[in-house]
Amino acid sequence: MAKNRILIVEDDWDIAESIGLNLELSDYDYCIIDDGLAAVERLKDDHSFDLALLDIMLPGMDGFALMEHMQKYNIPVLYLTAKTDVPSRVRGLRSGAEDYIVKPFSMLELLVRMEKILDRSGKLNKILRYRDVTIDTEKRTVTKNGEAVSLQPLEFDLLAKLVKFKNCTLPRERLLNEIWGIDFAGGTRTVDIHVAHLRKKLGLEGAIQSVSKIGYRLED
Amino acid sequence: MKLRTKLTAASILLIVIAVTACCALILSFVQKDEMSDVSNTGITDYQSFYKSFRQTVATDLPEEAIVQRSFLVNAFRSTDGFQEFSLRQGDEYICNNAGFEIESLFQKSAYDSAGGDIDLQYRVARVSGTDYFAAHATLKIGEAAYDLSFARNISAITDEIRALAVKCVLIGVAVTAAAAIAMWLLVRRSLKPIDRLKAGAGELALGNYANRIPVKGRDEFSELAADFNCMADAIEENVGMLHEKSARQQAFINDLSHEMKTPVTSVLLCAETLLGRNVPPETRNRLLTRIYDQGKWLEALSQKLMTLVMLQCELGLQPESVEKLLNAVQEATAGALRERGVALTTDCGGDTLRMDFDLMRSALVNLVMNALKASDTGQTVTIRAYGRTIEVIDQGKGMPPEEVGRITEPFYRIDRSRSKKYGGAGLGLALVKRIAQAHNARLVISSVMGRGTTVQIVFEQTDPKG
Repeated sequence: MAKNRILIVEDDWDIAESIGLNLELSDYDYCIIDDGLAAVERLKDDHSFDLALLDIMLPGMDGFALMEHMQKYNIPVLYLTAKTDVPSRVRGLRSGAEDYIVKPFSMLELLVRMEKILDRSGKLNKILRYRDVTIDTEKRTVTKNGEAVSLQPLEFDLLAKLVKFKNCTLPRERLLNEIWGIDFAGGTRTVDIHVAHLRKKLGLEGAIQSVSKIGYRLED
Repeated sequence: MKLRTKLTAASILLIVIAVTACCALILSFVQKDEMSDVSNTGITDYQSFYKSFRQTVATDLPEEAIVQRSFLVNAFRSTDGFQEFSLRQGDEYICNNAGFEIESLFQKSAYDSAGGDIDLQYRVARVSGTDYFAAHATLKIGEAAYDLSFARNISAITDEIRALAVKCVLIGVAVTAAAAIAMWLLVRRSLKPIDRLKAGAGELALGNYANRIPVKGRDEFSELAADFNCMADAIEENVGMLHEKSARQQAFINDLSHEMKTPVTSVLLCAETLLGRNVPPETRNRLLTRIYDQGKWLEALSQKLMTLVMLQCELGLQPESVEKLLNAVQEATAGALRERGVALTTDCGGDTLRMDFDLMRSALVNLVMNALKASDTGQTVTIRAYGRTIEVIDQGKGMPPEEVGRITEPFYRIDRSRSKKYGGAGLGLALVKRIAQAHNARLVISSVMGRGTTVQIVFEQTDPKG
């Protein structure tokens, strides 16, 4: 299945490029446009985007005005802006945007929100691949080289998370909260044990890296 | 109590007092006049009766008591006007025509005494519903003393006075009522402008600063309304200025926060990528360089903001050599000019100007750097000083006229991405303008598309204070 394509409309090239770099590392395709009018032009020929990250203050045409063009092609919109005032947020969300992130933001947060939007619009890849491992998030099955591997439910969730955010360092506490839940009484040691199981069952000893004092990262 | 009610009540009270006083005075004059007439006539009549009676009885008084008595009665009755007199000896009336005891009127109450040879007492009295003029004197006949009393019915006159008093009261009430109504209307009419003033002040209090009070006539209220309108003008102007100022500040803060957020976002993104991602070495270096550049840019922005803040304070202006200033500018910009292959010529015709040397140098360096950005390789930037003017001229691409007006706004950039590449924070010309203002100088920008831009700093003739 093809990678999700993301349209970035952001006039600050440095920021756009940093986002692009991160998206690339998280297995997304992306396209950067730094002008509102140029974005409209581009959409006429090429509008097969799964999600658009829009700045609001743009040269040519502002992000609010771009919204209707995005809606014409059914592209979900996530606003990415320095405008913190409540009227702008309300206006952004009312106009049909899926989400609104205020600069400065954390890349990990952006990735999570993007994933949620893609999930809602049904454009999220249901099949995750990592090297020879294939994960079907719908059927909750894992195969390695075509052979089924049996995983505990929590091990499956941990693997899916690591693959979804590959090349990102995921803190132990975060994994614990999101997979085991906030009420889980066990310590972060539980995460270490499950990671050890995953490494062993899937032969990912080198791929799942321990980042000292923080957590784990699955590397390409 | 309302002023209208107060004024009306006070006026009515005054009118009542005046009318009452008038009526009372007139009545008392009339009464005094009438009474004085009555008294004079009475006294004269009494005296003539007294005299003629005394004369009649002065001679040949019979000795025997009964004869004497009838003689007296005869003499009394034969004197003209006896019908109004009474004669008494001791407690016994020889003759009583009044029908009541006249002498008792002179026992305790106040009475007047007339001068002359007769010791005459007289007064006006009311006896059982009738007014009388009464007079009384003692008459000596032979050895015995007699009381000769006089009572004249004056009801006709007192009734007339009473009728007059009733008329006075009626007229007074009517006049007072009419005056009260007139007063009420007059006060209401006079105070009407106050309602207009009140409505105007109310509108102003509600924040409706554009509202004015219509000015009619030339009385004190119109003067007050005119003054009030002047005040409203001043308030409207000041409030407008405050609004404008706060809008400008808000816009500045919004721009500033956007300007700060962009590099901060970039720095955080790069740092997050470096910390959390395994990136190839060349990407790592690029991200680090970006963090360094953005940090430097933030530093430059904060420096400029500090300068802006400093400019709010009073500057110590000293006379400085313009030539020295131009040399310092040339020195500071030489490197950047050489790198871009742009020449700089200075033409110094100025002497000394009062300035803060560092700030003025920084303003001129800003202008030269702007000129440099607009210039192409091989072109020349000129700094010229003459009289009280210093100007920076370039042969670059120039600006459209609508840009010239906006270019001194903080954070305004014609082309953001290009300007940022040279480290501009978009504060340059705003800063130069503020520096010029702090020197009591004007910033004059003229530009022709394709021919170049000239920016002049024109010092005013009068030196600023301090």
